[in-house]
Amino acid sequence: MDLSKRLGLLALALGVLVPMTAEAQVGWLSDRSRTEGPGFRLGDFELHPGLGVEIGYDSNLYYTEDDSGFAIPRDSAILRAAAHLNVSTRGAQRQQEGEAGGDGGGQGNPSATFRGGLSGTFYHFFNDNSRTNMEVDANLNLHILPNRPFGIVITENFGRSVRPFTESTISQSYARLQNDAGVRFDFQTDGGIFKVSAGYNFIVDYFEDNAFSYANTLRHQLTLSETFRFLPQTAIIHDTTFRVNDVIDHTIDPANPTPLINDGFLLRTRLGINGALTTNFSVLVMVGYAAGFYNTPLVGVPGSPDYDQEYESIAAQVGARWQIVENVRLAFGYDRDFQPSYLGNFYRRDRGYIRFQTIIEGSFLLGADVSLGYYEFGQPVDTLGDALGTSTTRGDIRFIGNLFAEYRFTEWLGVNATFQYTGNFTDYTYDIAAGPGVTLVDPASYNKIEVWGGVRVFY
Amino acid sequence: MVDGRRASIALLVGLALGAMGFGLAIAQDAGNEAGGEVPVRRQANVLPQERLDESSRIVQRGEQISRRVLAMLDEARRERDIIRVTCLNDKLTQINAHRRSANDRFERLVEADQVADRERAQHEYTVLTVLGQQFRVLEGEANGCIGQDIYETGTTRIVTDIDPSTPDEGLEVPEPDGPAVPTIPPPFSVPR
Repeated sequence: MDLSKRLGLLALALGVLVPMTAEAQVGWLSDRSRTEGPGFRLGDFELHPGLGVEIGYDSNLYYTEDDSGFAIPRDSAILRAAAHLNVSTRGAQRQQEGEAGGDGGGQGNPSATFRGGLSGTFYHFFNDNSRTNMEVDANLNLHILPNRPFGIVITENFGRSVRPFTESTISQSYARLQNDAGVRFDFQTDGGIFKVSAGYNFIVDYFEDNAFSYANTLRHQLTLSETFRFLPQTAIIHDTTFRVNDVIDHTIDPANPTPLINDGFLLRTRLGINGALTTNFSVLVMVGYAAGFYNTPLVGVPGSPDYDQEYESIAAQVGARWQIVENVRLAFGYDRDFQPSYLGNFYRRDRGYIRFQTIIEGSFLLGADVSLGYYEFGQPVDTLGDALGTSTTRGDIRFIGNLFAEYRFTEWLGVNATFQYTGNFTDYTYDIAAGPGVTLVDPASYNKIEVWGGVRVFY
Repeated sequence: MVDGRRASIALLVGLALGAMGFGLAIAQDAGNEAGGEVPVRRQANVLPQERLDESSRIVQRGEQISRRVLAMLDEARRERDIIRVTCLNDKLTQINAHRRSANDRFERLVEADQVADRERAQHEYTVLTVLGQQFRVLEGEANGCIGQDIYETGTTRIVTDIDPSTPDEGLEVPEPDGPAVPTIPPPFSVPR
């Protein structure tokens, strides 16, 4: 393997593992750069198909507390088979390596670039056959007039997930549909020194099972960012995000109250710096203000609780990336943010993380990702204003450790293994009605171990 | 005896001076080998038809140089480069004066040949060759006419070289990731 390919694989490796913690549950499909090999070229487009089969073990399918009295299967072996097909206009690497030609000539700045992908993932849970299901993902990114003084980016992302995310009390379906359609307008000076982007996203979050229909949400998101670049590869950045969370169903059923989720308005604005300080060390520092306003949707309606809430705090994101040697990178940082939640309307997260990635001999990729965070939720009450658990406050300490390794025999064939531990520690317990006058106590703490091993081919 | 001795000394001095004069003459000839006179002298020995052909080429070359410098002058005028216009205009004036002189000399040469006046023809030819050399000199000077650009720095253009080992990272700040697993209470199994 020559140097350029090694560097390419290194770049791939360094870019791959960043979102691993959040995305580990959806496998290697979560990162496009890992799913694409050399690819087939079709004129000005390139095609990247792939197929992967993995066997895994999940020690805690339903996020059950270790000492929980629920008599349900807690662990299971899992078969996961994923196929994907990605299509895009020719990438920069292909063009730089001299693959000119095609109908469009391929030279210079293209008038539009396109990336699209489609994938399907089959899950079979050996210890819970009824959960066998398919996940689907489709995405599109169309960039019109890239690197021009004015450009437009159109994005569309659709996903269906099926893996459990809470206790299985009525054998409910965990299928969840999410769709994010967006448009962004980019303005920049000729050399790209100063950029301004304004965008809008419309997001739909829909749960297929009626048991979670109260959480179905429409979300409108407006973004504005300004970037001022300077040498060597650094920028002063200001970004502002305004989100409107519109909960679809505000029905209050006194006979079966559900967790209360209110319409909300979320604002976050930050100012900071991002980029390289030296050739092997770069930093990200963003500090700003975040606020959320949640209103009782049915003011004056009998039974509707007075549940106006406000959130106000500092938003911060601080991180450093250090390329220790050519093929070893370490990243660490801290972020404080708040996000919408189906429990208590929102949560605030203070989290520290460390990520390590290396690639050995250009073919063996090894990564580790560890994070420790404190999550504080808004008041968890139901639509009648009653507490959902033993307390009207909730704070969790969550530890996530992830190890990932992959060996590539060729440019299109690899075997990989993943180990992840998630520990969530909290005193909070849910009260679950199990019958007239019978309430089960379900601690929200859990420990979860996942181990995966598989083979995949990709081109 | 004394007179004979003086005569001998005078003879030796005369021989020495004669030798020096001869040497200077040789040296002068050697120096002229690299100068402009030799071609004239050599050309002077050419046949009448060859002399006429060469003279015609000199006249034609003068006209070509005149047209070319005139084109350069027009271009400088379009660019409103007054410094270059002045310089080229001066060279063109000299070239045209030499060109007119060359035409006259050529006509006289033809006439001299027709009446078989060899000396006059040779003289006119010699003058034409000198004019031919002047054409070349003026052509070079016209090509060397500089314009205003030598005094103006033009629009400032900054070229930046970034160390290729600088990490080529995207400068967009990644959005803090939301929860991969939503925090949702388990559903109530039966109404309370």
